[in-house]
Amino acid sequence: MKTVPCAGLPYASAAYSAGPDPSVRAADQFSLRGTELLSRRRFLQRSAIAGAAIALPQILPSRLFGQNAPSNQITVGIIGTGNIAQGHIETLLGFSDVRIVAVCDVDRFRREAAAEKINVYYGNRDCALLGDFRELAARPGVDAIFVCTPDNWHALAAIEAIRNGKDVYVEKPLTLTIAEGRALVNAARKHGRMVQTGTQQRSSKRFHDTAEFIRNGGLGKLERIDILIPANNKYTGGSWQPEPVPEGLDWDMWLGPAPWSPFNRQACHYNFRFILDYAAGQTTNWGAHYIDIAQWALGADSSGPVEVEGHGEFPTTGLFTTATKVDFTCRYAGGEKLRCRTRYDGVSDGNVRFFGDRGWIDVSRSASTASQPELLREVTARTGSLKLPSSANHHDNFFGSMRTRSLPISDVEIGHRTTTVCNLGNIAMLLDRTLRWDAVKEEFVDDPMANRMRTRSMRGPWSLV
Amino acid sequence: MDQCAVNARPDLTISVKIGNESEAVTGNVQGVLSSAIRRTSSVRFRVWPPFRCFPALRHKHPTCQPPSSRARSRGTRFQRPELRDERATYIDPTRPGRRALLECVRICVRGNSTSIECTSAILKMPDANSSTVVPTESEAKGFADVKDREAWFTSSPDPWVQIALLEFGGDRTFATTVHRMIVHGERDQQPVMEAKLMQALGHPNLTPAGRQFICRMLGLIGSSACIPAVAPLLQNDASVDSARMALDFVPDASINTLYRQALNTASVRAKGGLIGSIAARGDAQSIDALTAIAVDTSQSREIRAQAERAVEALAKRS
Repeated sequence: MKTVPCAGLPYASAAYSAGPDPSVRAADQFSLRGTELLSRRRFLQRSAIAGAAIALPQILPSRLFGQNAPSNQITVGIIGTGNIAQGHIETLLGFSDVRIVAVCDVDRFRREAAAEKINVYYGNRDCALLGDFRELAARPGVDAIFVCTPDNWHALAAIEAIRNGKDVYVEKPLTLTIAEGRALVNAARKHGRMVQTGTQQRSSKRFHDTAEFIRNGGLGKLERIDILIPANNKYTGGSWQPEPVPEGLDWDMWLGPAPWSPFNRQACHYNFRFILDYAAGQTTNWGAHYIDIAQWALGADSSGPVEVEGHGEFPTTGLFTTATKVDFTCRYAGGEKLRCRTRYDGVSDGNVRFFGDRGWIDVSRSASTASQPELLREVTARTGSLKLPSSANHHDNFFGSMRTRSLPISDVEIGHRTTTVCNLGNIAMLLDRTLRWDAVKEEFVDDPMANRMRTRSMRGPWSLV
Repeated sequence: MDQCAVNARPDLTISVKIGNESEAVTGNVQGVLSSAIRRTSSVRFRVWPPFRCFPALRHKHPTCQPPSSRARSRGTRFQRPELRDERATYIDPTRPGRRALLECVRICVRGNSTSIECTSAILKMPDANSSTVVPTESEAKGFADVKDREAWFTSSPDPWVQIALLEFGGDRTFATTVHRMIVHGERDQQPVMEAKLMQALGHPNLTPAGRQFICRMLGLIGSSACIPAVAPLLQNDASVDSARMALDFVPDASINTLYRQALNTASVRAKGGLIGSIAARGDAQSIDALTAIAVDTSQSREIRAQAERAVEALAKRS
């Protein structure tokens, strides 16, 4: 697998004041040929450049640049309208300079409900309904696509959108396999598209400041990182007895590249994330969020660990196949250890705790705690010289990156590297042994079986080409 | 004696004997088995003749086979045609939640009369204590010899055989056992396990779920040795995806040739998967074949585009 470096490219937040990077714009020209849509995109980009030219784009409201005018709005299509997409739709409806123009889902009832919600809000019947993501990807008049499908589909849907010149917001985890992640990064770079990963904790001040504090050596030498993620023990023993496919669901399309299996209601909406053919359980569901922060604090956004050891527990029968007990440890080149494991206290959130010479700091979505109160004061003071890219809103950051053609806060390479750590943990747990990892080649050292598990055979006609 | 007429003759009188209980029921075989299953949550039968006589049953048997050596050693006598041990899952169509693993039913057809005898019935309840085993009548009476008795105590299913019989919705325990042996085994043990997988792939009652599972396992440890066993699966639309699961990661150039050949006969769906595999394997010798697909207007738009991208990727590598 070829690694495409992203170091040196600007992030969206920096680009607000610095203007788009010429190299990124040059890459973007590759896909700016021809179509009406892309000409329009170029117009959007130039609006942003004009904004940058007066050096105050973050302060002046965007309506002054005419971004709210219909011709300047960013148009969005959504692939997958289930649980997570509902949150995106509600958020996007609040953006005056963004318009949802199409929804796509293999479940007719879901896509109709999503379109109805959008149409009611806009007061019209304009939202297009589609059952095949390829039609949405190829649809003119769509600038950005949100991929909110089961994980099994993330790479294929996102790559198809990128090929068609769309910028993409991909829900976490970025992809189901390591090979798919690399293919998605390569596609984004080749076509000059912006890809934001849905690891929105990077747009949270709490997590940002903590990662920045650690990167600046605030805890002294970082020794280890402990991550707790919610359990999925209730998802064991489900029946996988074949059932009739309900009306309105295109089951074959829902399965997509996954191995064929007869329909079962528990295998489908939401619960898919606990079946290894479609997702990777809480390891990626929650791990993608908290491991992402650890990677940020470690400065490992374009690399990863050098070794991983796992001891998980997996259901032996029934429908669900992902780990019910997650416990794996990664070792990084600097000697730091990252341990990720299941919590059993019923809390539906994770947390990441950093241990260093000066004590520890623990951060979750609800709170930050530390071994000494002064550590927390130092975190918020932000006195370190290294400033990490910042974002106040994950969606805003994505749309900003589209306008400036600069990398978003959770760029696809970052999302890929974080998801890779999750997948390394899952592979190590499945194999129940210590694995050495070459983060440059993205391959295991001297373990052919583990290397085969970096990818999967897709059910025809789907493939990564 | 027409075995396959059994299920088609609802006027037959059929006697059913399960363990120490017996009852006479008039109806077709399916009805009688349904009746038996209603009385117990799960019944283990052995069925003669094989399930091709039972359209409602999910196994398909290509032919009736002679009795197995195990059956012969028990001294079991059969009416012609002689049939072998079989096992399958019977799902009561009136109560889908109830299942029975059928084993040890003897069906004799004489004129208008058919009898089903459960020579071994293991009654399983769905909740706790479900493993309670009721010895069969013949077992209660005693065994032909000590060896048989010892076998009765110690015999257990072989997971490497049972994986061939895996059903969608069935118990995955045997599959999990095999999976763990494969991933935890030492590298030098893999050839032995690969051979066992190939043997399972040749099981006459191989199910689609079993085939898919076995091919997944070969995808982890498969070598050139498994190619002869897997290659025929590439010719069938129903099995080509499973075949690629087994072969995609085997570093053997002959697989590239097999994939190229399969392109000629594959359906649209299968062709897309094959193109992806060829590109992932980096088989530059396929460029001509893929180019031909890319310019062939009789192919679907998606397949042509896929072939074109594959050619681009392969050309870049070479």
